Amino acid sequence: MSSTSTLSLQGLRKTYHVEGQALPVLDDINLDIAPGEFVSIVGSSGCGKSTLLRLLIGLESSFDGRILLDGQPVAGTGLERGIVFQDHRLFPWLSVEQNIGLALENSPHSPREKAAAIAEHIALVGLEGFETAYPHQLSGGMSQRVAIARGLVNRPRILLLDEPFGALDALTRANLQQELQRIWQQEKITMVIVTHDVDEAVLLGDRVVVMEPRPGRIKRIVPVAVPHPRSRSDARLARIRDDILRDFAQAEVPRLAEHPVEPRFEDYAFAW
Amino acid sequence: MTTSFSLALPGGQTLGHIGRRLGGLGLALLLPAAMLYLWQLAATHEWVTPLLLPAPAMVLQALVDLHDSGELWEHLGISLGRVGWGYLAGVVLGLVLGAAMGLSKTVEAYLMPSFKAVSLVPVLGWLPLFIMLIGIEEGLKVLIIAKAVIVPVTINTVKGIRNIAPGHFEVARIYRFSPLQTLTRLIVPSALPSLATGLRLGLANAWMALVAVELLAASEGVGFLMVHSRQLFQLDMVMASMVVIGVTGWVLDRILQSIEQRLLAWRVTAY
Repeated sequence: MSSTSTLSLQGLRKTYHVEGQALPVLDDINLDIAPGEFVSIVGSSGCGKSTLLRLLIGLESSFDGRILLDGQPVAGTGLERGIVFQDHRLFPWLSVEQNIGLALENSPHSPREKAAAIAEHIALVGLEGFETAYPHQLSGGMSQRVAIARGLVNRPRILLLDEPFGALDALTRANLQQELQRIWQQEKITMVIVTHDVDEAVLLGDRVVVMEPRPGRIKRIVPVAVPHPRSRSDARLARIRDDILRDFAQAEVPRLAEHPVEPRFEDYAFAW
Repeated sequence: MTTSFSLALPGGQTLGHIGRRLGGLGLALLLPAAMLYLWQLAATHEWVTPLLLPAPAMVLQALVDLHDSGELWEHLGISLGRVGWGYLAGVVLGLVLGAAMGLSKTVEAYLMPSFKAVSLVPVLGWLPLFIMLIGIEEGLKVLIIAKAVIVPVTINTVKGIRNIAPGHFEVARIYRFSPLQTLTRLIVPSALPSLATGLRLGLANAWMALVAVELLAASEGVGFLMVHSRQLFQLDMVMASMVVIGVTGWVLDRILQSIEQRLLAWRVTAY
């Protein structure tokens, strides 16, 4: 099975230790993602979906179970995996093309090939004419387009998207969802998007992985058998969305927030 | 740009009107011009004896004399040389110390408390001890200036590095930056605005420390020129020295400011 899938998660577990207490965040995640597939992961906050993505990109290293990319276990970060965060994380002192070029710092290509790849990906996300603009001159949607171009410019085997449109206004979000669909079809690249927006998950995903919290587990996997490109007004999508929304219908048990496990500076001071 | 306040002047004008007509520079020169006028008035009417308060023209003449005799440039050259060496030493040490403490919590834990204690004793507080230890030769001036420079440079370097977004370090990891790449592509450019602040504060401190140390322990330099003139009761020379010190400090700051603007062009355009 794993030989035919791009990404394979087998018995994946992740536990944080907060003040001496074990806090399980992910429990027994099993998932196989086919080449070129678009998988949405949806869940309420605290279900560990962002942690899952951090494990896949390699920013978190301690876990149990196996993460296989093309049959090879992943170790640390790698240029064969790209990511787009909710906050675009562009470097404010670099122009659009320089920011995209960051991803190519350690790629083996010649400067000419790199320049060509950068120009090609600026065109892919529709930002021709903004090559030399700085991030502070861009809108949130444009910044996220740059971040997508940066994530794709290495031609990774898989692109991970961590709530990429969560901070955008509704119109821009809808627009970028269509754009992402087009880019995915054009590039034929495997994508995994994490979101808490069920509409978004259903619109984009070939399959929607529904997660439940504490600890984060896969509740069920819903196939979305509607051909791309999809329209958000498609009645079939609406039915699937309503079905998934029923999973989240039970009132949440009130409880205090857990310690946010955010990376601190110290985690990086010696990391390199 | 200017808020008009209704202080009526002869002719029905307000100060705000005048300010708008003269523009920003005119507004800035208003107070000095008034002071100069008052000074001239005090001198002509001899409110204060001319021995203590020479007329503006006398001070200007003293400046011209200093320039003609070459004394001015001799003393200024010596002073700038001291600032140059002290500043260089202070900047290098401050950057190294700041980078070490900024990048490593362990180094910070070892050094920061001592550094703070040392920095809390003002520059002049170190002077008696340093004079005892190394005398009053050039080494003393350079050491005092370096001490004055290290503090702001170190603190702003630490601050600049600490304020780098953790998310940007993750980007560096994702694209597999080497330590050198992380330093040159992320840490230095990201900390640069704060570094620039430290460098400018350091230069201002250096100039002030220089004047102080030259007033107390020197036989040449603009600070010495001032204290020496006071001992000879040449108040015109004292005030001419003040002008030289003020203008030189301002020019030094302008030079650094223009370098900063060039380096941080991406940031300047943001405002």
